[in-house]
Amino acid sequence: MAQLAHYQQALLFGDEQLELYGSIRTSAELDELNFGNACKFITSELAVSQNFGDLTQKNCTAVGKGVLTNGLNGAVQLYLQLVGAVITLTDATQGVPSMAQLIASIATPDFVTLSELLFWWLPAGFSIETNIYFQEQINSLERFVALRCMMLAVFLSALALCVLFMFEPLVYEMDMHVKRVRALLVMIPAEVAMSTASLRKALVSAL
Amino acid sequence: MIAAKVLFLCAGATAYFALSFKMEYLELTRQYHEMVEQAYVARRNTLLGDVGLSSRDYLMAAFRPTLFRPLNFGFAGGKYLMSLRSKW
Repeated sequence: MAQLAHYQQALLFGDEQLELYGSIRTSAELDELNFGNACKFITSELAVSQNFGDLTQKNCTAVGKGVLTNGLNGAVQLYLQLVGAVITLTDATQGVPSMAQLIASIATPDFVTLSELLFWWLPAGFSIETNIYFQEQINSLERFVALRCMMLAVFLSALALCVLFMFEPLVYEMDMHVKRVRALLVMIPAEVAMSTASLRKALVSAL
Repeated sequence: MIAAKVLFLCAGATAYFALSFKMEYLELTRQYHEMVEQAYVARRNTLLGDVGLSSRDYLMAAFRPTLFRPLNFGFAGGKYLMSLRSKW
C-alpha cells in the first residue's frame, strides 16, 4: 500500500530516485483529471465495463460523497485511507473477527465506497489517465517527426539554392577560365607566349 | 571569395547537423523519461488491484482456512535444501 501511495505521489509530483518528472503542470488534461472534475472524463458506461459485477452507484458525482469531482488523485487518497482502515480493523481482530463483525464491516458505507472505487471507478479513471499518458507520448513523437521533416526540407532547399545561385555560376566561371587558358596554350606557341610580357603575365596569373 | 562561399556552406551544414543532433538528444531524453513514467503508471495500476484484493483476502482469511496458499517459491526451495542438508 505504501508503494502504491509512493508511485501515485511520484507520478504526480516527480521523484528523483524513480527518475520521474511528475505530470503536474506539464499536461492540462492530466491536471484536470487529477485535480479538477474527474467526472467530466469518466462516464458511467466506462465504469460499468471495468467489472462483471453490478455497479449500484452509476452517478460519478455521488461516489464517495463526490470525491471524484475533486479529481482522481482525491479518489486514490480516499481509497488508500479506506484500505488502511480495513487493514487496521483486521489487525485489531488478529485476523479472526466474528462473522457478525465481518458482515457489519462489509455493510458499512465506507466499505461500499471502497469496493466501488476498487472495482469500477478507479480502474476507469486509470484507464483514461493511461490513455492520456500514451497520447501525450504519441503526440510528442508526431510533433518531433513533423519538425524534423520540416528542418530537412528547409536544409535541402537551402542547399539546392546555394548550388543553383552560388556554386553553379562559380563552377561555370571556373570552367570557362580553364578552357580559355587551355585554348591560349594550344594556339600560341610557348616561345611566343613566354617572350611577350603581357601574355606571360596573363598565363602565370591564370595558373 | 570562393573560400568564403565554401565556408558559408560548411557553417550552414554544421549548424544544421548540430541543431538536429541537439533536438534528437532532447527528444530521446524526453521519450526515455516518458517510457519510465508509463512503466510506473502500469505498475501503479497493477498495485491498485493487488492492494484491494489482498486486503479483502486478509479480511476473509480467517473464514477460509481450507484455501490453498502455496509457499513462496524461494522460501519453499530454501526449506527443502535445508531439509536435505540436515539429512547429510
